[in-house]
Amino acid sequence: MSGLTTNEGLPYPSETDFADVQDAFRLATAIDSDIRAQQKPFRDFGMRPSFIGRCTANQSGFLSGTQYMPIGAVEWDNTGGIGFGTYYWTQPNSQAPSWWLFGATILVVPTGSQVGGEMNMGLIQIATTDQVTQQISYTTYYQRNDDSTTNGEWINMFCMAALYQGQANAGLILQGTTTKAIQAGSRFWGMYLGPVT
Amino acid sequence: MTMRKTPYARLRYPWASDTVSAADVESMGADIDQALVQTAGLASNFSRTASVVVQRAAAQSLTKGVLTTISFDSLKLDNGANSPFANAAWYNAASPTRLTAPTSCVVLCHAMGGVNFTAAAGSSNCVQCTVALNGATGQPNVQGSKYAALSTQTGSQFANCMSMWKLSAGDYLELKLYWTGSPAGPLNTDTSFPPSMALSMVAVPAVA
Repeated sequence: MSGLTTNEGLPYPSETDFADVQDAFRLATAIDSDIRAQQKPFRDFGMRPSFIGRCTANQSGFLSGTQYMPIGAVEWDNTGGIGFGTYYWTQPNSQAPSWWLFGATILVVPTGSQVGGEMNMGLIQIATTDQVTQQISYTTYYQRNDDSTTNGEWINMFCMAALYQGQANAGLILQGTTTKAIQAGSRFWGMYLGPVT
Repeated sequence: MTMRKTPYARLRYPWASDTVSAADVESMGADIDQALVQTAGLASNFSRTASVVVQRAAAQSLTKGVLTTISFDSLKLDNGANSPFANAAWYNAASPTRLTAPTSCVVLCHAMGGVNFTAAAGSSNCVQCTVALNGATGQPNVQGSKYAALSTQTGSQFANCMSMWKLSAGDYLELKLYWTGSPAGPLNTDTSFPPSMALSMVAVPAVA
């Protein structure tokens, strides 16, 4: 075995060598590894980590405070991070620090007479772990759609965040005099964008 | 000659003899060739992410208090047919309200709609931008946003939303607009910044 190809460094026998099975084995495995590496970004695209969780029951009404959206149905998940009955999506522990896009539609169902201008706010809360100290920090993103007195609000929001061993969830904040809640059909979703470094 | 295969691309290579025949080299070469063709195919897919953008350029009349399905009349982009991930178009002029999934996929969807208020919106008003799955008119198969203008505002009021959907082949998404307020209506959609909807495939379950 006396040569390497110019671009990919694949080992090959020269014309004066006696070609044996070891030459063929080394060449074939080198090509195999090379092709695997070259196809990786394309396969990664097709299997981009992502999830969609849906709330399947109207939640209990409340006046003021925060209510988090439970996952009643997993419409899609190839991360293994959400499941029935959970409130959080959990980032795979093996994933390096990475950028994610999260979004939610929080449907708000009123159960009493609505009062115009009362506060309705959606939130997406992100928890991430410091790689060195292991300290967990939280960031919250908000979208405010105050009461329009048109039979409930639809709060649509999204955010981009860098996470490591993180969690994310969506919820509703109210402050007012009318009882409201997260409605069935609300959704929380997320998709991997790429590595932080 | 007994041939073994590499673990990933399944390239055949000679094994059971200490000499290599021309036929062994030929079959290994043919497997490498196929693997490279596959790589080229993946690259081609990657460079043409299956996506679509449609608009409603002409004004469409919207009756007050009625969830109205927008009929798209302007196709800005549809590379579904050119993407081997999809192999078919998303938009069909024969069903102008629908963007139909050519294959099982996960899509990121953006939608926007504006309603031109010809009189003050009033104290109880909204514009609702709804993305609906397979003709749904209410939960659970709707996502979207709702915007309420100040009561004295006139002119176009917009709502826009981003959502993600898991679609089976043949499932379709539609943009539906709803408005209410003081004007009796009907009101038209905005034509300067017309209602639009865009989808981009972000994952393919078949690959996962």
